[in-house]
Amino acid sequence: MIGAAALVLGVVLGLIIQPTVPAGLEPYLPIAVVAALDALFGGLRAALDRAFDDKVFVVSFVANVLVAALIVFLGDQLGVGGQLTTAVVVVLGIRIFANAAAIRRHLFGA
Amino acid sequence: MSLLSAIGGGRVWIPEQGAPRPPRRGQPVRPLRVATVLLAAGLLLAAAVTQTRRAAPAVDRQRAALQAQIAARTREVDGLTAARARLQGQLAAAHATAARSGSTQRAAAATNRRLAPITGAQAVRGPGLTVRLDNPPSAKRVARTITDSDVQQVANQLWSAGAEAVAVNGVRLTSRTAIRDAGGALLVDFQPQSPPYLVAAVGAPGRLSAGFAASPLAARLRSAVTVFGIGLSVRTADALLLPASRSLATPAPGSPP
Repeated sequence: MIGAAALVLGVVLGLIIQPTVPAGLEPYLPIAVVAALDALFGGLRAALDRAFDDKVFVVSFVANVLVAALIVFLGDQLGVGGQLTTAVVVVLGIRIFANAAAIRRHLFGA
Repeated sequence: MSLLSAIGGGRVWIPEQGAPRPPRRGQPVRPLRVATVLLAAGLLLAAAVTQTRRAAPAVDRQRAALQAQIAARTREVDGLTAARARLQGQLAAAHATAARSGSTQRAAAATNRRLAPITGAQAVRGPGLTVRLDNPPSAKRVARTITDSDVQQVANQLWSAGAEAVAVNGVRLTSRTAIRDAGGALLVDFQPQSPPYLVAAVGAPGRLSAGFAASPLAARLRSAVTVFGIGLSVRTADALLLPASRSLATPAPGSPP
């Protein structure tokens, strides 16, 4: 409950303050968000599995966001930034879908 | 499915693939930590959304700026074209005045009057032939389109059939006019043209159409009509008006505008 409230509060705060992202970090923001979504879905699934560990959740969230941004940054330096962005989005997208499927099984039993 | 599990690093349970791992007893959850991370996640999400929303108008602005620039430049070109026409009028009047001043000038003016329609310095009106070339309808799989060399050959064929003046899409051909392809666009005298291409020639219509119809080029184009579906229509016309060339920079002395 507190988690959901915090999430909603974060979104509302973000929409109110409209934080400006430095131009240099702009390409990595969408990737960071997808990585964060992956961590969120992973956490929700773990909670439903009764295997939720807040340490794992916090570390995975931060690490996911940083690693995803780092991969894209490296790709940009090597000139394959666009392709690596696609790769990261595909991999994280598959993971999100897999987690969503697990959550669906828990919630609906189907 | 093996690719999916490989991507998941074996950690993600893909539900269609059998039972989940036995639940792992976690430590007691500290809600503050989780809430902090979720707050950060929410902030991140909102930031991304606002950033994307903000970027979209920038793209629109750029497009609008480009459109405005195109419009401004087009107006500029129109203004300059009008100015040039005015100046050419003044020049022609000056030439006419000069032509009255002596016998040498009169002879030169007469020569110029004779040459001006042929060189393209003067607009020409008269009967003739038009050849309309068009790309195949886009619904078909397009294997052949009208190229610069098609238009060049049609123009040359019309010249050799006895045309006195030729224009492509209203751009007069002179001895200094190029018809060429520039990255998929057809440039006639450096002015971009798009299909259909109308090659108009002033001359004796009967001679022009006979000469064109009998040429190997016409046979090739007709077979391209049946094979590739390009558009080709040849018509005689009673009255064609071909404008003067816009690129003959300095009109010859004594030439009318």
